[in-house]
Amino acid sequence: MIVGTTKSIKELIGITDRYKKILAVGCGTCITVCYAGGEKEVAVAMAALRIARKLKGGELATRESTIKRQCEWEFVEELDSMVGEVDAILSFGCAAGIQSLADRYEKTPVLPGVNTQFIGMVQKQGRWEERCIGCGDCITHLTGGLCAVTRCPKGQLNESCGGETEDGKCEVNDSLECVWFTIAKRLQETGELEDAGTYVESKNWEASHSGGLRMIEKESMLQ
Amino acid sequence: MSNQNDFTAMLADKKWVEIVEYEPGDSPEFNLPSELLNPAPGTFVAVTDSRTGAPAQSALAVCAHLGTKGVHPILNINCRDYNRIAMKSMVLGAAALGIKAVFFLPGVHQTLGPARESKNVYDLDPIQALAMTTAMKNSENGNGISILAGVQEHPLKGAPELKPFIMKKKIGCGANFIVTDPVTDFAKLDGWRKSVADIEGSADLPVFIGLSKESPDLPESVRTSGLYAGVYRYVS
Repeated sequence: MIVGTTKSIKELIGITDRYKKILAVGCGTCITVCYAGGEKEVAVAMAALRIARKLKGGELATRESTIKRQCEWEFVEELDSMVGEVDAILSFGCAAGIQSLADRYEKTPVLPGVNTQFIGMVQKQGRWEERCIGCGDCITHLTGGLCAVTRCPKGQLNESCGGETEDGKCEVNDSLECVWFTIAKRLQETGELEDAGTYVESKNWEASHSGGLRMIEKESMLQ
Repeated sequence: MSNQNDFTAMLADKKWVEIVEYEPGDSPEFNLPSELLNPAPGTFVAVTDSRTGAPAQSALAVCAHLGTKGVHPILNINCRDYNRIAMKSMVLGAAALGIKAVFFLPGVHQTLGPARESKNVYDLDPIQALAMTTAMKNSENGNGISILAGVQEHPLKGAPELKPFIMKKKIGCGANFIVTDPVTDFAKLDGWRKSVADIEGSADLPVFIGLSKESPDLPESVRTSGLYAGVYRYVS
């Protein structure tokens, strides 16, 4: 899923400062389950913004709506009747959601309420970890099903960087295991340790964001 | 008898080599100490490449300067700051300057240095950079470079079971030499060297023992074991 974090109230105050009527839009899928921009987070943030505005001697009128997915037109449409009444939309969706609102409501400023962080998973209660950078050319079959492109901060595809601690913790974040340490354990368990001797060639980054804005078209579905 | 100022000849003749790292500063002046401008026979200078993640004078510029003084340095290239275009360009430039060897390293992650807000590159890892250089050496399109290329080895870290496979990759990608991480335990170093001994090409691959200020004195038995080509003295 896409993981994000709610922007700080201080930042939201700055972003919304010039608007008097705001529609705050939550997103009911990824960003809800990482507790960044669901119904609850929207309510808390907007209450804080109203209080902050009042303390400055101003008024802030807010309306809140959480739709199922901000990244799909059929759900975004639900907002049509509300948008005309506000000065701005504050989206608590990921960056895809923010931009779909900006695409649909051309005359209304759309502001970000969330910092989109990564594609990842709940590793344990209260902790989300990154698992994919969307490189467009998955090679996890060469590394025990684990993504060294994402999980090694130096993107080392052939071995560890040597900066890890002797007990296998990552040089950059010692709360994480060096992915090459994990890969070795996994290859051993699956009886495929020899795979570590396969040279992983330089990646084709053209398939990633380096190649420019990406899109996928399925001809059979295009009308 | 080898020319003791010729790194390539020293390796070919299996003579003991001392490599001393030099870390350029962040000023526009060349401030190399006199012992590096006049290294002892069999001693070579490796120039670090923004080693700590702090911007430092270009390693290639320092190598060029050393060249004008008759010293043949080893150019360190980190994978943090350059993509394959810049790396290839640097290797070609190094060859044009007469630099005899390049040494690829991952580079300290930028978040551990003073420029933590900068964006890293990591287009290639050191083994891939090594393979790139080998391809340049072997290409028929006129790159025609003659330069030695080496990468690091981490004998004291990571899963020991992986080491032979990793060594096989490095040899397969054309490593001309290997430099270990700073060694603090020579028994473990020997354990690693023996664990990779059966890999084809391993016995002939020059391995430099990395030493730092924390390393114990090099035992004479290790020096004379015939398993190592020399030492590489890290700045720290």
